[in-house]
Amino acid sequence: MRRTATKPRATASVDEVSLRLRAIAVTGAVGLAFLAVGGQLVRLAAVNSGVTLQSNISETVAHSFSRPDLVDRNGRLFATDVENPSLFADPGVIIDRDEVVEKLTQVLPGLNARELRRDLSDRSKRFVWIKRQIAPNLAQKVHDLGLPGVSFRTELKRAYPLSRLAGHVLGAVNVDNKGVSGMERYLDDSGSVEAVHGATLSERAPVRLSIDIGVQHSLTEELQDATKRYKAEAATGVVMDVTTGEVLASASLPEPDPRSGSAADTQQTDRITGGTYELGSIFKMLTVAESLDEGVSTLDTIYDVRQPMVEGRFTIKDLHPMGRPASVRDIFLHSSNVGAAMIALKSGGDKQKAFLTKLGLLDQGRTEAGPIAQPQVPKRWERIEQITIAYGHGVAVAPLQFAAAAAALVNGGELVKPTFLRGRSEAKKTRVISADTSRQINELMRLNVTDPAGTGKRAEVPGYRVGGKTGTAEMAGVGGYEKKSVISSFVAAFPMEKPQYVVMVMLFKPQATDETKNEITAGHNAAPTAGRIIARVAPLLGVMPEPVQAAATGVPGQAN
Amino acid sequence: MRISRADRSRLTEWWFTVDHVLLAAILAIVAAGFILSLAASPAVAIKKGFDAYYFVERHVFFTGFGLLIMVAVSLLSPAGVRRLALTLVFVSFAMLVVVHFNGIEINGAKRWLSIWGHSFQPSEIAKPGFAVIAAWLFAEAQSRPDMPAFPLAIALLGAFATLLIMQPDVGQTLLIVAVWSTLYFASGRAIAGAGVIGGIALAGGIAAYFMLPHVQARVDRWILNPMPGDRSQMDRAIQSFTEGGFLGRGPGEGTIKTVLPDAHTDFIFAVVAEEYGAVACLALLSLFAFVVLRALVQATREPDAATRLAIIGLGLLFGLQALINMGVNVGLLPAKGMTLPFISAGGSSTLAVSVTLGMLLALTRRRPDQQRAKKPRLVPTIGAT
Repeated sequence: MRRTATKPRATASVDEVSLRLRAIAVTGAVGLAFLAVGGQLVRLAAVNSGVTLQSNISETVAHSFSRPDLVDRNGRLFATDVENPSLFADPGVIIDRDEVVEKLTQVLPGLNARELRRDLSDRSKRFVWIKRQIAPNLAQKVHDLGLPGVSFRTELKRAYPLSRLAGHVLGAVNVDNKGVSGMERYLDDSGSVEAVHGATLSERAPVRLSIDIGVQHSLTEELQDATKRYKAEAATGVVMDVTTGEVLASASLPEPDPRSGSAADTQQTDRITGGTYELGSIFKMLTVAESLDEGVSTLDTIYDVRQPMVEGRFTIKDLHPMGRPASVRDIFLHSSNVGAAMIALKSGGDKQKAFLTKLGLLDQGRTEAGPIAQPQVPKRWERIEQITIAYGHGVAVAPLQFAAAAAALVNGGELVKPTFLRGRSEAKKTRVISADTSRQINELMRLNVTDPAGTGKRAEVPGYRVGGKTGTAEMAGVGGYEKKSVISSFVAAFPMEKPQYVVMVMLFKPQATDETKNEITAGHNAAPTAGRIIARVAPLLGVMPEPVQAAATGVPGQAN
Repeated sequence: MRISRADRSRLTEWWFTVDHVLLAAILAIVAAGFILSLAASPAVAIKKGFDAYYFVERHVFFTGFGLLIMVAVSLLSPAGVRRLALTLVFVSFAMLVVVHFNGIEINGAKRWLSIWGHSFQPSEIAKPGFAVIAAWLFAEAQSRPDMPAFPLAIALLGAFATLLIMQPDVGQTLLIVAVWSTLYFASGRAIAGAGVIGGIALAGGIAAYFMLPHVQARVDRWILNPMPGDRSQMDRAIQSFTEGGFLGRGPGEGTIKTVLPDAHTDFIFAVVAEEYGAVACLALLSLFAFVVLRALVQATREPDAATRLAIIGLGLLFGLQALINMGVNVGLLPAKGMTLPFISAGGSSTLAVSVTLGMLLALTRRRPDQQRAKKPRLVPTIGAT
């Protein structure tokens, strides 16, 4: 290719062609480089997917969660997402900061003018929330102010059309619409909730709870009435299907408002699942069931309950001593502490403990809404523990767990797991007591309501064959049990020939009134409350009443 | 104004001989630059505490001034272009020496001179001069073996490269070495020599890698790509390409411009991608490719060696600068501060690009074929033909 001085013209034509080829090669190479960049552009654009959108850059924008609706067992709405305007500002665009602060605080008096002024003063920030989820009419007013740099972003807000009803079961969401407790938390944990930009409503099917709005409403109203009537500090109640473990209603007063976020107030904790209590005499159901099932006693086995029982430094007495030897049936009806203790001692501590374990009362339970409070179990299980546990002191369990155990005793003897979802009960059943023992327990519970001497006679609802057991537990206070502070409870089932539902009512620190004949025992407050609840919910649940004349052998007119 | 072929003034002559298509493509790039400056720079201006349209106003001013310069330069004859190039080389080399002693240091590099309150980058203005003079020397080396043109070409590259490395500015050095090597190849010299040049370039690159820490860091980050997020600016840029998709998020909807400090200069392509999508990016890319390829195709038809090589050199200068900028944005190249001609904000770069394109337009004007015309007798002269 090199030219020589002697032959300048000879190579010229060859040179021309090769030089042109070289120029074309350069052109082609540059063209290829442009193609490479273009190809990379297309490749990157094709990668575009929602996944990258949510990482890094958009994190602050994607802070919203789209939730499926929550409905009751019949499909009626409990909770849904609604689109709601949220107010934000772009400080870089705001022209007159003072004007913005002044006008906004006039329309939205809840705003802190100083904080707002501070937030808006940093002009390098391009996004500042002013107030999230404001009412549409206020949003319109702000819009009408026509302030540059102040704008709206539609966000999802959880709405509870029934307000506080079933608030504990539903739980709550935070301002980003993310579940923080209860079944709302369950939605997040089960992956039904999607992170979204702006306000994209969920397209998932509603989640069907086991709760029945009608039953829940009746329960809540009757408990409210009971707290007033008996001047109780708090009240809880639960209605459970005995074969599936589905919770049809669960209320713990005072109730939280799901709209207010978390239930920080300890008075508002869900006592049904979140607290453990020594439940008192309703435990005698368990003591008797264990003894009958093990064949240690029959309903007619006689125990000598005439004297108080002395065990070490403790003396166990009956509230209303019978003054005669009593059968197991009488012990149940009169709720004799001495009798229950004797029945338990005859079986022995190992059997007692094994029986409670079998019913799941000594281990921590779990529902979809989260773990149930851990039961408090004594470290040692000596004679004195056997005695106290026989009548419901010494072991503290969450009411929901006891309701499930009671359901197992009355449903024919099969264990159930409490659930807040409809149709999720386990098909495989574990037998805890024989069907015969279950039948005998049902007989005792029914007798306790129909017999004039029974402690549960004020729970009778004509036609609905109610059975139940009372429990009046002294609350543990400083330096021992407080005589005047009791948890009065009643665990009931109906209809007693083949129980379908368990109703458990607890009143915390009820006061003696004229209505209760100056008593604070469960027979005078919890039992009639349970009766009134059953009178309202039984028709809702489709339980057919017997003709009243035929059933009117019991004590009439207790249910109003 | 009526333009008539009867009018033989310089401007009308220019209008009838200039490459209209090339001119139209360049003006389209300028128009796109105005729009995209509005998209990208207000966010950066607000962040830096300027008035929102500070960079837009500057961009419009510099580009308008640049267009005047471009037209003025394109009026020149090939000989005039070479004279201008020689002047530029002398002046800018002198300024590069001054920069070394009296420059403004930014981010550890002395590249800027302060002239009337404006910072000015002499290396930018040196590049078109360098390309034209190198092309002329290569042409002379082929046609006139009696001249020591090739050693002069090596000396020119050596001087410019040394001045740039001293700043240090590895990216610009690579750019001029690439242009010089391509001219070597296109001038018709022995392929074997290209191997030697490649070897020297490789050795220089390796030396730069081991002796300049920031070069090492950038190349390491690009090749090894250890942790996502470690390449911060570049990852953000690439993310905006994926987020924009084909049609973009829409004008004003971009987020990257509020994040990247160089959104209005080195990473404006990423802003375009996020707001207007890959389709707009491809359109912009095609405009640049069109200008470069049209110039190069014109070069293959150009009979005069010096002019042909100068067109190739200037076209490459413009094209490589655009390619490197876009390549960095899409993650094909390691991070390198190179502006996108007429799109990115930046005074020196815009003026330099104007001169480059002015010369390109001047050289691609239709002229009578010099070789077919009766040639004067070969006499030793210095300078232009």
